[in-house]
Amino acid sequence: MYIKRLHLKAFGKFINKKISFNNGFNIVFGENESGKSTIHNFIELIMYGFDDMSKHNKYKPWNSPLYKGYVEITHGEKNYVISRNFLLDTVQIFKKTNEANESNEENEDNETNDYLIEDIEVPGEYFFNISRISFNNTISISQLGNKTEKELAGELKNKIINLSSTKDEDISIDRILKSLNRIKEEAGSEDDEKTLLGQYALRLEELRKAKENSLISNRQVMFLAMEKKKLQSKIHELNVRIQDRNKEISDYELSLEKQKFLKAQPLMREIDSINEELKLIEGDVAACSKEDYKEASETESSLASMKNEKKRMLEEKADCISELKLNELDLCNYIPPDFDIDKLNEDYGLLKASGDKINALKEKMQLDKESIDSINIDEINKFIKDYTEVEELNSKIEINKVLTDNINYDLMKKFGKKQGWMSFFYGLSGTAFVSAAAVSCCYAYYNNNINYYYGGIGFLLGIIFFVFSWRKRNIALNTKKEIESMECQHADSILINGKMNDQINEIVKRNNYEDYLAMADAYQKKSAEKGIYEEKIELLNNDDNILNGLLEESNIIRERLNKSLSILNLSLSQDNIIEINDAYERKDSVKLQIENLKNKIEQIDKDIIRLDKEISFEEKRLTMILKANGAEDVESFKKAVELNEKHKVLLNRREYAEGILKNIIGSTDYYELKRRTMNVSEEVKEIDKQDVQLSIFRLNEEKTAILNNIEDIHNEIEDIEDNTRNLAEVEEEISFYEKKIRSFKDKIKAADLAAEKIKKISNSIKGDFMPLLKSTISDNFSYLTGGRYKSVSIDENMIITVMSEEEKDRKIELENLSGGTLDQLYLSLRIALSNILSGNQNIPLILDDSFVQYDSKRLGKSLEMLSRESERRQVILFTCQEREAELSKQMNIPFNYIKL
Amino acid sequence: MKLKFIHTSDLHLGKKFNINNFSLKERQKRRQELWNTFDEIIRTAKIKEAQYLFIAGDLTEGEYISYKELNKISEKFDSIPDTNVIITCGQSDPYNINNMYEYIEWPDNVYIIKNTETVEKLNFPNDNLCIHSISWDNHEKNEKSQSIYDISVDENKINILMLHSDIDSNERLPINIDIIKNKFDYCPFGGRHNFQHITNNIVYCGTPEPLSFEDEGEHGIIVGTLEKKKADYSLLPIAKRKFTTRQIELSVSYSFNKILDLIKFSGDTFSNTKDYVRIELTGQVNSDISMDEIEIEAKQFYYYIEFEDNYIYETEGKNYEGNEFNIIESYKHQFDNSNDKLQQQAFKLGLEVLRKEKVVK
Repeated sequence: MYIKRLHLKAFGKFINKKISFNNGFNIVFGENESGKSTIHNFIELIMYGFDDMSKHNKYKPWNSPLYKGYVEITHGEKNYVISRNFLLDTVQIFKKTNEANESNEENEDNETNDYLIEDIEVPGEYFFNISRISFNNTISISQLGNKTEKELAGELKNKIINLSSTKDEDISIDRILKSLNRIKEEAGSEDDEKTLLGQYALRLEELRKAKENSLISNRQVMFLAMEKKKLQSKIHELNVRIQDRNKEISDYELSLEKQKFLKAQPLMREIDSINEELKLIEGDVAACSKEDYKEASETESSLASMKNEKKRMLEEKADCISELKLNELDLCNYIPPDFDIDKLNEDYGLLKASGDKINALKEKMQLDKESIDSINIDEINKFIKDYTEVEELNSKIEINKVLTDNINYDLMKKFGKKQGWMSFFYGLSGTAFVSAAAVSCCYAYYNNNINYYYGGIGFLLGIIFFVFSWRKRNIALNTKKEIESMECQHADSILINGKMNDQINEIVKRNNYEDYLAMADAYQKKSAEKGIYEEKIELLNNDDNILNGLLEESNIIRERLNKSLSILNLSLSQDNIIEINDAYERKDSVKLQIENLKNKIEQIDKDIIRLDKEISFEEKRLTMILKANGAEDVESFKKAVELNEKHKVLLNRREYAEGILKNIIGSTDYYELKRRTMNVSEEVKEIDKQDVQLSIFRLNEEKTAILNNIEDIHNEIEDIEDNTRNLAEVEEEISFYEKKIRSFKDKIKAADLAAEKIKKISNSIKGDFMPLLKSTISDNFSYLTGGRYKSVSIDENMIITVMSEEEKDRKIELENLSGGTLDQLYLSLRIALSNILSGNQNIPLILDDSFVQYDSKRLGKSLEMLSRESERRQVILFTCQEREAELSKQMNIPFNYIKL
Repeated sequence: MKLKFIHTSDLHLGKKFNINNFSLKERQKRRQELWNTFDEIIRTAKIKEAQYLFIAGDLTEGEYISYKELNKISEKFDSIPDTNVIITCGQSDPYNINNMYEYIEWPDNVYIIKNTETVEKLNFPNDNLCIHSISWDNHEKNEKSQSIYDISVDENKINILMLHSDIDSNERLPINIDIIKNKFDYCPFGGRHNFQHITNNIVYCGTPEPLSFEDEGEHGIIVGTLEKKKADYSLLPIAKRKFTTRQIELSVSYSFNKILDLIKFSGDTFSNTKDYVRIELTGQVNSDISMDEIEIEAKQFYYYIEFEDNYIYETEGKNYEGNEFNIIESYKHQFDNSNDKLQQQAFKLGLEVLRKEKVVK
């Protein structure tokens, strides 16, 4: 059987890597990191799968989603393909039926021609017939290591001995049995104090004693508890007796108390009556003090005086304020600092002078006016007017006379006539020409002589004459009208003149003159009179102008004054000027006055505030005092104090009465006394109290003694319990150790049983397996050494010797063999094992860098040995050195060389 | 008016623990925990203002309780003067000459039932309540059932029957409940360690703090109110720890880690770090796996864990056509699937030594 081909579809760093082996000696060369161990592991993993996840992750391809591979194995005459998907960890085995497909590259995936073998979980176990561990130990052989020959021999010897007795080169039967024995020894025995069992047995004994102790103690405690109980009942008995004695005394004392009560009764009645009285006023009595009252009334009167003082101050303040207001209203306060009083006075002087002048002028003018008024100017004017009118009328009459002169009238008449004639003449001439023209034209027409037409020019001339005629006629007509109007005018003038003369006469008469001349004389006089009048008027106008100038001047001054005065809101007047002057003079004094008043008011205000504070303090104090004493006002406070006094008197009385009562009944409550002695007769039964008390004392002494006894018992119990281990704990510990001992004993028994079984197995291995091993090793050793050594023997004492062909009887111990021979022996051992395990199947031999540390000589020998073995089985040697291949070539060893 | 009550029993104060796998320290601790739980009951009585505290037997472990501890109990009862404490003596604390209860000074609110032959009646006229009870006088048996049946009750009162009894047993004061169930308004029973509701008015409160792997489930005290013909109550769990048993069936294909995980995650973490857990392992285990190691490893995840090893090692399995290779394989074949503990132990021990040897190389 041999591995024919590997196909790493995707495994570790390999993708689609194929490696073919032959059924002989294969040397796989690859430098470090080239993937030798990957391939080596691939074979193991495809045959056995993963045993731990670290390898799964280590070889998971990082550049392929796949994780699978195939191995082709030739087994007998048949070919098998083992396909494993590492991702899913599934394995399939195909038995190849179509040999033709063998060369097909994809035949692993072509399942149609193959036949699937089911029910094989671990192909390695199926094909090699050995477990993974055995596979790793036997098929894949690692070197023995670079050791001395002696060490090599020792290791090899151990392996052979172990194999002979346990079928495992690593398990030593001696060590196993020793281990089991150690377990037994550790447990030891109950008799041996030095061992655990012995210790436990001792502890157990102690505990049993402790338990005994605890039980005894518990009984003691029980006994003591009973004792205590008895004593407690004695105590109870004593208590009853003491109680009886005490009753005797208490009865006696009660009768004494009754006596006291009888004495106390009247006193109590008095107290009751005081209490009644107190009860009546008690509701009104407040906790108030006389001193407080005194203080409160004092405070109240001081408050009243303070309030008066305040009132006075407020009045004073009001006075001051009104005075201040007056002062502040004083004119002088409104005088601005730059006010020029001198200028004002000067202006006023000027104004006054100007006023005087104006008045004088006005007076004069008045006189003038009066004189003017005396002339009746209207009459004069009327007369003059009338006279003028008469004059005018006279002149008009004169003119009319001139106008109605006949010269113009005659001239006009002559001119008119001349014009009329001229018009007639021209008209006649015109008619003549037109007639001539018309005759001419008729001739021309009837004679048809053109020349007659020239006679038509006569028309033109006729027309011209007609025009002249018309014009002259018009002039003549106008002249005639003018003459007519002149005749009318003349007639009018005569009429008007008449009328005007009438008017003149009327005017003269109206003015009471006889005629025009008289009137003319009068006119002379009147004209002179009017001249005088007009002169006077002119003078008056002159004066008026002067007056206006003065008024203007005085107005300017007045305005100036008014301006000055308007600052002070004053009108111009003599009084005001005087007032201003006065005010100006008193300005400073008023200011001082105002200042003083203000200061005074401020002072008063301060005083008032101070006083207010004092008042409020006093008021608060008063309120506090009143509040503290529960009074609303001083009056009620007074009443309360009086009531209080009365209350005190009553209390004193009661206290006195109670003092006496206390002397009689002591600290006992009266009512308690009354209650206690209610059923007690007033009679006193005399007893010897001392005697009774003595007996009580004795009984108590006895009781104390018993109580002490009880206390002692109690302490004793506690003492016992404190010094005794808890029974439960002890028993628990006992059972704990008993269990321990039991389990140790079981363990010893188990160890014995195990040792027995192991020995039995070992013996059977020695009987069955050792001879097989011995002969198989011998066979292989002889084969590998080319018959130099004949056999290997192992005697009863596990001494291993080899026998050489040359010296047949000489047994050579391993220590005396050379390194090379030991290598051969080791290989023989490995091959023997794989043969035994696989049932002589000649399964492949895989070596991984086994000879790295070998020198050339030793390597040569090993190669020779492997070459020899490769004739029987497939040998695959993984190496990182070229020398194996080179040496093989030199030694003419046939091999299949694979370079990674 | 409703009467407030607390019903408990089987406290077994001072108990000796027989659980083999408990360390000595653990037993001591557990004993202390019983005391703590007792304190808790007293505290609850105070908080709930219970008028009655019924203790239906086995308050203490008679032989193991000390005088000092009893005084402590007495002091505790003294701290709840408003609660009437009625104590019946049970199988563990029978009232006899050896019972120390007799020699302890109990406070006034404590009533110990001292009648062991006939039923004792305790009247509480203020509450119109009558308590009927009988104590045990020995550790072994109590067959005075007839005296229970003979009780005559005053129908006008609230009647209580307090017993330490295992009703279905032969010798532990068996009771036919049909005879008593209509006679009493409430029957606080003790003597069984698990809470059990027999009828509306007959109840086993169970031990407030479980004591062994037989006492599984919730444990606490019964808190309720009582009036004529009507009892309202519920279990108030106060137990500090539980005992739980879990079963894990193993298979040959399980790896070391898988088995460890099965154990590790068999219950909730809170319970694992608090309770007493027993794991019953059954099925077959691959002989390559060291169960001892697993069990040691598992301990770190538990407050307490013990194993009941009912699994067997697989000894057959891989067979290389008669090629039993090394001694380990041969050794496995030496043991058949025997249930014999010694055989199993020997097998485990031998295998362990062989494996160690193989690993050491």
